[in-house]
Amino acid sequence: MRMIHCADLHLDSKMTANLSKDQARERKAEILRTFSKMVEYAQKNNVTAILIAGDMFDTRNVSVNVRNAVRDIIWKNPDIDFLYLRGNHDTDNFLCKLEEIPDNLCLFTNKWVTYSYEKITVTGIELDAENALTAYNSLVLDHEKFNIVTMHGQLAGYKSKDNAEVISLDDLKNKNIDYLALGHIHTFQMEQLDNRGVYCYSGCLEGRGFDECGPKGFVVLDIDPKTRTATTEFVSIAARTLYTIPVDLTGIHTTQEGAERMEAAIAGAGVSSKSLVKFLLQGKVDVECELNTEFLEEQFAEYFYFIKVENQTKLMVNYEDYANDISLKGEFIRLVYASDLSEEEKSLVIRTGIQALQGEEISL
Amino acid sequence: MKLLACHIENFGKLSDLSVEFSDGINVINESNAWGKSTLAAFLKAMFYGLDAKKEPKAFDKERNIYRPWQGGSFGGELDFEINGKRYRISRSFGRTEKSDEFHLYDLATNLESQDYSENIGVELFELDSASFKRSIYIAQNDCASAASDSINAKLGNLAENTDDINNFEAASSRMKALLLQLTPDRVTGSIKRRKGLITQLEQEIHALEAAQEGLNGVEVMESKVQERIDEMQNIRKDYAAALVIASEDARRKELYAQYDALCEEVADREKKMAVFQSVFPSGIPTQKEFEVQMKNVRLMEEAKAAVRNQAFTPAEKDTWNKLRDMFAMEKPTDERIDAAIQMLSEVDKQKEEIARQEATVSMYEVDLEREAEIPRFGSGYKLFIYIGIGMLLMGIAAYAAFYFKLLENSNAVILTGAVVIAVGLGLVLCGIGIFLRYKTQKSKKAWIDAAEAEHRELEEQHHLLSDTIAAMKENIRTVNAAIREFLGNYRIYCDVKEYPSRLYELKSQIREYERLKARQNVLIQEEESSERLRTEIMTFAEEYGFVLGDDLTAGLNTLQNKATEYKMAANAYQDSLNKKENFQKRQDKSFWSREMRCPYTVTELNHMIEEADRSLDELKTARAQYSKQAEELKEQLDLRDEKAAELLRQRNLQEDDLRTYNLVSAAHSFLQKAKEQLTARYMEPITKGFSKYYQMLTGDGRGEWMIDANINLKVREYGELRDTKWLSAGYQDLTGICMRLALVDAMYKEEKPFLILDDPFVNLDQEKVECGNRLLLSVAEEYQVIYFTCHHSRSPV
Repeated sequence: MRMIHCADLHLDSKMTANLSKDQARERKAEILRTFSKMVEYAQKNNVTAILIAGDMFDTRNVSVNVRNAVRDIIWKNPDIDFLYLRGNHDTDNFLCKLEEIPDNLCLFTNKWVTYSYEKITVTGIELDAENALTAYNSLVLDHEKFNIVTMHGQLAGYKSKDNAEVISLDDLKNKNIDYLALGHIHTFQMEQLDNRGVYCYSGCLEGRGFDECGPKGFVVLDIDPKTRTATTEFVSIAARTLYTIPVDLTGIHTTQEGAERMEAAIAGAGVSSKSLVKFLLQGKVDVECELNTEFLEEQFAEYFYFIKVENQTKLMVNYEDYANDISLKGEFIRLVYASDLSEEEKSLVIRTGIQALQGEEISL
Repeated sequence: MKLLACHIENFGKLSDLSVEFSDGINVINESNAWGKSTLAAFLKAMFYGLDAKKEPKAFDKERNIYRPWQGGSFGGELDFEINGKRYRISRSFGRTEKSDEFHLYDLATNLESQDYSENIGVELFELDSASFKRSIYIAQNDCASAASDSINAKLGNLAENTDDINNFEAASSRMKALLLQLTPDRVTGSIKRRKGLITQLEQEIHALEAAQEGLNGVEVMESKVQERIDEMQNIRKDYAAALVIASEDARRKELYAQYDALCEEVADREKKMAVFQSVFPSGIPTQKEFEVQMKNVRLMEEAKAAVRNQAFTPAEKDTWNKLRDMFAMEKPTDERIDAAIQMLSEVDKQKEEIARQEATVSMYEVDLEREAEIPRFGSGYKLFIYIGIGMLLMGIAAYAAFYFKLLENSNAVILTGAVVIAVGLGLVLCGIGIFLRYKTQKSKKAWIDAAEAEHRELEEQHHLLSDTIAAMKENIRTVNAAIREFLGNYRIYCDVKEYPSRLYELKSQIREYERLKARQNVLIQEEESSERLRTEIMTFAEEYGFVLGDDLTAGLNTLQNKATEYKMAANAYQDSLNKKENFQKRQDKSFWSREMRCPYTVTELNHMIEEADRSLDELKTARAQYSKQAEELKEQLDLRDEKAAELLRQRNLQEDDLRTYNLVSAAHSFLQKAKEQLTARYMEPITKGFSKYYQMLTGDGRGEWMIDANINLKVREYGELRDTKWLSAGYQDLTGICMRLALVDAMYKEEKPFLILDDPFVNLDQEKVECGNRLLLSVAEEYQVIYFTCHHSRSPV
């Protein structure tokens, strides 16, 4: 039996953080289309069920077109079960607007709910403040079956954001779990849970920000109920991939040199022109280095669907160089050096003064 | 300090070049592109090494610019004297700074000296490389160029119009503009504006936060309403279940009513049936019996009708009586009558035969008496014979005439032919005539023989016929006698001629007799049948105790109706019994308990369900309203989230802007202070030095000039202090050199350096060149000057 584990679709996300209005609209449609492509994949590959481990939608009020599109996709694929566990971003806005819940849309509640497929079980719970602590003790699974457990939340020990509940892996160990299908973390991650099973965050279907870089998609489980074994495969399906490319600019003095370093960084990196790319400028540059990030953004704008240049370079000031500089600049630097500003502030103040004296645009 | 000599191993385009330096002015008069700038750079490199950084506006780093074109060892040596001691700097440059080598030798001992480190430049002049370069090097000026500001442009940052103190105002303005753009104190500042925006966003978010509380409240209310809906739906479900029971009760009640009615019906019908039972004490005739009797009635009526139809009329009665008497003894058969008629017919035929035979006899007698006449036989043969003879004669005559030459003129041949033909024809015709005559004679003889034979036969037949006629006449008499006797048996007496008609009449009478006799038989039969049936019907009725009266049909109908009524009553009774039995069979056990299980009637329950539905509708409406309200509140919360994200973004921007503002503000403050300190430190020495050199240059000691806080020179012209850019290019160059020399004076307070001048007077006319040269000669008394030029006209020596 084949099953798809996906999560964090965040359909109807506004996508306005980085992108232009038109790009946001396009990306919004692409996210919906990717969901549809995943279902087409399921249909072509005889997938019995699609497990959505939370955050199918992004907002409280799902727009009508997205709601109808999802409903139609579910209705038009009656031979595929959609096991939908609501996450911290999901509300009942989608479900309560349905005139009737399709037979193949299987829901979970704040109590453990199990769906069985011969010798395979899918058990899930929607965590909330009330059941977050008590859920673990009430989970009982048959050791003779292949048990999939699904939850949405942040692993204990990590900082939780967006009011997501915390999942305690320790409390899920040795409970006959074969595959713990999790949602909330937007990057694929699979680790051993205990001697028997693994836990897996499938990640999101499409990256939305530069904190969601790399390939995105879903996990296909091919389960043999007789042997209680499963093979897993991560299927990358995202229409566009986000990359954060670090570029070490140490030692450069001009923007053009920076551009050359960026060119070198992307050369052979296999980054598609459809991608969204953030260049992370790093390293130490001389305080007099002329580095124009806006120019760099313009220069690389045509390379990719979206580009962002973030300057995280540290300024390097060799004060000895200016000790005997009889000039306004030398005097200025010596004065700043003698001040009680922090080293970072000193370097930034010096850069500001030098940019101003050189007639450059002041950028920090 | 003064330079003594240098040897360039390889540096840029210069290779294996040795230069000796003397005190005062050292003029190097070489053509363009000889490498004067490279030599100047070499001198700087000997003291300071090569700059690691690329200079602003330079096309590459020094190390790359001056890497030997021809290859080989990169570097050289420089000998100099300071404080009476001579040293040699030896530097070689590798690909990177790390591979550079520096050596300092004391020329007195030729041993390596530790008096100065590789930073010898800084140690000697207390200036960094850039400052040194800016101050002592009045860089190459293209001799062909006539740019008026070129000298000024090469006077170093302090005096040049590039990117240092002279750019202070621009830099300050730029920073002020940025600070103004960012300022948190004015509404034009983005920080101030954003602060307002942030406050507004905070207020909006705060206002929208209430939506969360509202949503919580609405969700609680919605939940309560949902609970009430669930409760009401349960109540309604109970009502519906009760309605089922009540409906069942009602149905059972209805069934009880039906059952009671059935029982009453059974009793009523039993009573009715009992009435009819007294009418038929001996039982009820069956339908079949009635059918039989009704058939009997019908047959009886038919018999009566037949009797009526078959009764004789008076005439028929007379006929019947007459014929019955006539045939009382015997009734002749048709065969006998037909035989008599046949005999009469035969008599008639015999009479006709007799008449005919008698006529024949008469004819025979006549024929016998008549002489037989021989018929005439043909005599045509005579004609042939006569014509044949005639032809013969004519032939003979003709022959005779010819023979007798009577016809002399005649053609003999023709005439002979004609004779022959005539004779021939005559002979043929004669022969035919003879043959025909023979035939005629033969026929005549045959006829006579036949006539004689016929006559004999006639005689024989005449005798025979006469006998026959006599016999037939006897027979006729016999027949007539027999028929007379036959008719006499039936009292028929008539002439012989009437015999046939009377026989036919007898035959008709027999037919009529038989017809009437048959009718008579039918009458008798029908009368008997009618009576028998009547008896049977009466007996049937009497058996069941009924007297039918005269009208048997009416009586029988009455009896049948009563029987039918009885049967109907019995059937109805049986039906009601069956219905009751079936009804009982259909009911289950619960039916027989008459206890009602629901305290409410169906009507009451329907009313209660209606009430529950109404309440549910109201509750659902309320829930829908709460749902809508919750949706609106969720939209507001989405808006709040958007605004919170925007607030976060604005706060980050504000933080960035504030940081930028603070940094720019600090930078501006430091720059301002730096400028003040710098000008305070160098203003007076520069002013003093400029005054000295200006007077040296112009001989003008009136001080018609001023150096401002930015070390900008302003010269009084036509009563006003004017910027030097308003002066002529040559004059600008001269005042620039004065400024530069004043600057060097100010900067090198201890050890005076050498000066490198790269064709500085290229823009000057000859008069001004001479002024400049004079100035240089004066300067050379204090400084060692290395003067590059490409034309001897500008050489000061």
